[in-house]
Amino acid sequence: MSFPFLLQLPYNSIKNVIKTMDIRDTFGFSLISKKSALLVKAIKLKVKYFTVTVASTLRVEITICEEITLTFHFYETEQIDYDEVPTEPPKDLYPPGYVVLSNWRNYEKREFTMKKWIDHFLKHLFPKVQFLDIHCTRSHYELMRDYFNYSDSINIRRDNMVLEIDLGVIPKILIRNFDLVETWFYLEMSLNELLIGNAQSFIYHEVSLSNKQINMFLKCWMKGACPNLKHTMIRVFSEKPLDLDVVWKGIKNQAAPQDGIGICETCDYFLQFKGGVNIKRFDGVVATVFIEPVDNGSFSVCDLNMFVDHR
Amino acid sequence: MSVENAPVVDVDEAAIPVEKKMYYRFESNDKKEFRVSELAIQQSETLNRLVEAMGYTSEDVENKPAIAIENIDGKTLKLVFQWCEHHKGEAIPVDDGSVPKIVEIPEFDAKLMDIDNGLLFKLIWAADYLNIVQLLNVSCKKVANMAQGKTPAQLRRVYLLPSDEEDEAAKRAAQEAQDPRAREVEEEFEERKRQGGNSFF
Repeated sequence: MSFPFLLQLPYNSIKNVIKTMDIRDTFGFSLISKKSALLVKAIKLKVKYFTVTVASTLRVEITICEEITLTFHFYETEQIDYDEVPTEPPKDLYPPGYVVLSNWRNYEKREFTMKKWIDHFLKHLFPKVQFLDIHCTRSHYELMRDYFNYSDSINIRRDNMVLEIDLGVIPKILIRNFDLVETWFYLEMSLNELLIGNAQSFIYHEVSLSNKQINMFLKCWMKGACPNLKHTMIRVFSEKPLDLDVVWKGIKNQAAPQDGIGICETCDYFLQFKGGVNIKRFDGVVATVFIEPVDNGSFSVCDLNMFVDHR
Repeated sequence: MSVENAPVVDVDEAAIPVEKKMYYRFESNDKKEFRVSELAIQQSETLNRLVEAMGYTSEDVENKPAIAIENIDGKTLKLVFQWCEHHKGEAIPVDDGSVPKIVEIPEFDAKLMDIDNGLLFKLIWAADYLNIVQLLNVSCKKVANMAQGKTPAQLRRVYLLPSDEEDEAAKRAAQEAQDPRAREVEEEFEERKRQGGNSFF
């Protein structure tokens, strides 16, 4: 069945037709021509997660919602599952002849280079990515950074980021000014690495820091380190138990009013908070800090939460 | 309720049932007249505002001329009003901005839209013009369903979409059809831009 009048419909109706398509058909529609790609861009598809995996395969996963994930395999060779160790050495990235979507449908676009594919994903189809998640080795990270780090794509990349695998790339990630950097694994992080963070929000689920290092982190922030920081949540693992005398040594602080409720507009985790300790940066900006021990058996664990310039 | 039994009647056909509910009279651009219940009209934001602004009484409806809908023909308008009568009283969906948009086509609507593409095209135009949100959703969904499982090449044929080359050729032709003097000025401007000049004068 055909409908040769699509482009003669009112603009809103054309968009409505594309919005009601199955997402896999929308992707196919976007590959017809530049005009069709622009029409798909106009409907402003929102994506929850955008995952790129580079090993012996290059796989791009785009999660539209809980139910819909598009998986694009760029290499035909070895297919590995999540967390599986590849047996083939990493390959140089090359333009794919075609993209296989969810092992189900092939989309051919011979004239597309890798840059054009990535452009197509990030500039035309999915300009609003909540989480960009790159899984790759350190050597590939440089390459992937080139692919994702140009023109408008940088805005998406800067939006949010979750990194799970290669620890060697961590400092390179931290120094960029993302909205959010979040890690989910144990990090042996030096104080210097912590202080180069340029993101607005750091969430580190396991970091090894001593009481003195926490003290130094707060002091350095007061002197101007991490200038973009709005919120940090760090679960700190330490050899020695939490000692607040050491943590607050030499830091001018004041208990925050107990009756007021603070609101953090940057983070999703703790929208409202009460109490805490206020510290002041050299330019007068106030941060409210919470340092609370966490019961964790044999380890000495505490949560460091810091809300900067909140309401 | 079947499509045939939907309570939209051409005024010159069967006798009009006498009801206390208000029925408005509308006339298509080919002079076909329809009576539509007040509740059914609420499905159309455009018509609902229009009748509210007119403030007709039951006598006005009978004595004054039917409200003319200039750019929709009788065949299309009949489908539109059948749809409105069938769905009268239903809540009008609010667009929450989610994409892809989940739309189910009910059986009645599927039967109503079992029509040729020319009429489907007119129905979408009418739904858009009259701002009938759910009718627009289901009619667009019917067109979207034609894409199911197709490759880009097949989709190009289904929707008769021009290729990039055809779009370029059409653009060139449109430029050539422009006023020759305007084109000359534009070319001169482009030339100066290439030469690095900031000002045209």
